[in-house]
Amino acid sequence: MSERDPSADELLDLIDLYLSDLLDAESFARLEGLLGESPAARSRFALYVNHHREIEFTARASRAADTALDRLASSEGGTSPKGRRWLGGRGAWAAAALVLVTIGLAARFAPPRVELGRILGLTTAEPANVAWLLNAQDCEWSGPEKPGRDMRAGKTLGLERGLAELEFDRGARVILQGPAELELLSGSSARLIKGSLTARVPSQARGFTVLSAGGKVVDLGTEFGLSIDDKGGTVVRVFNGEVVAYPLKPASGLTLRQDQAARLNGRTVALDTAPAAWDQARYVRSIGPAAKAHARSITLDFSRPRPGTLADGRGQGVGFTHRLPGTGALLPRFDANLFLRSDTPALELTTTRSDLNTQDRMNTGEYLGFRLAELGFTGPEDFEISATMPRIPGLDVVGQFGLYVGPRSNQNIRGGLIRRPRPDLYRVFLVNNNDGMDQDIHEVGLTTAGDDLRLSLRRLAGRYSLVVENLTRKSSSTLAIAHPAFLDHATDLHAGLFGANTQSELSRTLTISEVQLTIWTTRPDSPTMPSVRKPS
Amino acid sequence: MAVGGGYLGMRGSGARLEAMEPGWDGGMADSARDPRGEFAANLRAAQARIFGYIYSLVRNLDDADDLFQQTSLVLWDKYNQFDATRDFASWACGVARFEVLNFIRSRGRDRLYFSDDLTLSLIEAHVSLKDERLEDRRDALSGCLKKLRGRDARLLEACYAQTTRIPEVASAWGRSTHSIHNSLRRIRRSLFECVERTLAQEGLA
Repeated sequence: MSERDPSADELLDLIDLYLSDLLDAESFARLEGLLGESPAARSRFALYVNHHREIEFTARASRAADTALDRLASSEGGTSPKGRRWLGGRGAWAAAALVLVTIGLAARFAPPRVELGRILGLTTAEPANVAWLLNAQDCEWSGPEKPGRDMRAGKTLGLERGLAELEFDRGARVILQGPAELELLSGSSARLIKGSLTARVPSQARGFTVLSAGGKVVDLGTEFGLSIDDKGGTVVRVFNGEVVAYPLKPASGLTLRQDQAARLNGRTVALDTAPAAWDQARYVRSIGPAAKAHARSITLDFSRPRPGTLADGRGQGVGFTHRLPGTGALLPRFDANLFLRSDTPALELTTTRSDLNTQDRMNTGEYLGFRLAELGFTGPEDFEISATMPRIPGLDVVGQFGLYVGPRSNQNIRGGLIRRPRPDLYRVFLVNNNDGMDQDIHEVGLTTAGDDLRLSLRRLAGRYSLVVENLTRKSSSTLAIAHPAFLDHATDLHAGLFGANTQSELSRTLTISEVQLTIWTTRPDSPTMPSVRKPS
Repeated sequence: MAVGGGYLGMRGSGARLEAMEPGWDGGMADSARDPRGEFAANLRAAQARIFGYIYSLVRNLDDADDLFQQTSLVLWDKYNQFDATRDFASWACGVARFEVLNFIRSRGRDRLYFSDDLTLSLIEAHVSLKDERLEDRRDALSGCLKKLRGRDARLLEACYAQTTRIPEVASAWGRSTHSIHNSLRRIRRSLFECVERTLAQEGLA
């Protein structure tokens, strides 16, 4: 302590004020900032707080010792030790220490009294369960903690998929929709860490509270839905009754009534005046009889034109209804890169120069596909897109073709074949693209130009994988990469195929003999066939 | 509870624990075979740091004491999930953190408390304090306390010997809250420097 560092002094000053409970909000934020940014500051904090605690222990122990010595003195008729200071001489300390032992305090002002007997089961006092699992449908749980006999405060339930209905001790019922994580806090509160839930709160459970990273929602006898969006914001929607939504920072709450929604982002809570139409649909408010999965498929065999879909150079609808948002804006309505060969039958796609990685020349990129929502996709459903491509052509190095899934050109997962610097050789690849940049790329095996392939990009149990079957060699490879969590909560996904002579002007023509898209939906009321986009 | 709740709602930990045998706590040599002995040894070794961590978040000895007791119960309850290759104190502070956060939430907004993120990053700072070092500091502090002036000693006693808030002390002493705080700060700081000096002289710093 011989050299004074002004920032260290400031830190100690702030800690002193903190320990005295005299910090105003601004200084508190300053202290949080200093501690948050520096491990050294946190070490200093820990040391200084312990110093403070020792002083407090010592004072407490001394007071207890004085009291005990007073009692001893009066019972033995000796001199009253009144007036002796707790910081007195060695003899007083020795006496005090003896007494401390006899009255149950640790002799060295040892910190906490650890009631090991109680902890280790000598008494029957048990923390009680705060919730019960009432109903579960198609549930797949993650992590070590599953719902069961131990449902005490502090337990975090990770639901990968399915629906789970919990009843809290005070009577609130919650339906958790996988993928979601919920931490049980008490018989009348929980914390939603991710995903969505709905809560039905009978009058005796009024006050049921759900915390989240964006704030907290206190129920006033109602039914509401709560979800965490992909940016970590919290959305609350009231179906019946009232809730009050509070941001994290001390502030007044916002009362929400029937059919109102609000967003909480930690600092603020704002009424959502135009909640998306899908918003209400995504909340499951009751668990009915186990729904059967319905496969909804669309198959393109290219044997005839499909009017009203994306058109080839001659104006014949090829069957794809959409382009991946962010791509193809400058391609003409009659796209000469497409050629519907009803005779073969097949679709020929001539690649253009584009690259999702860095978002190069997206306006003329060929990324054809479907909008999954038009096949009943609402967010949680699994799906698969596949394409059969006979006699694959040889593209220039890093040229690539295959399948994609994503809401737009700069956020997706894609896989297929990528040309590597050996004549006519491709490697099979799968890659995530977030913010327009490729990441987590995985490449395996070799495939030769001229082979017949079938590619399938699927999401099963929420996980993506790519299967590449080499129909010529009768072999197949399955690839999986780091899970693209950024796609988890996307509800407006597109899926389709692409061809790109990346970093080269040399175009090649791909032949596609069949494309199939399947969505497994558990909602029988979903639309059965996609409505096709009107050509612009 | 209806619909299967009766089964799912039962707690099992009571049944898991066997009746305590007398003297279980003395046989540390058996700790490898005795989870209770092992747990007790782990908890004892880490208790000062766990308690320090809790105290640093709640700033009240009584609250910290309650939370420590509560945490200890939970730790034992979850001890079969403890990965012995991990540091016990870190694991324990992680559990303590949850108890503290619950407590803070239950207290509403009566005081300012650290953000969840900061409570997490403070664990490492507390866990990495060395127990021996804390012991040395405690010894040094008792020497330093003896050197305090009478008035300073009385002020410390007034502020710390009971759960008294500074404004109450200020009112009893006829001084302003900030004046009491400034005195306390000076005393704490001089004690801190005295401890550092003592350790340096003993070659322990």
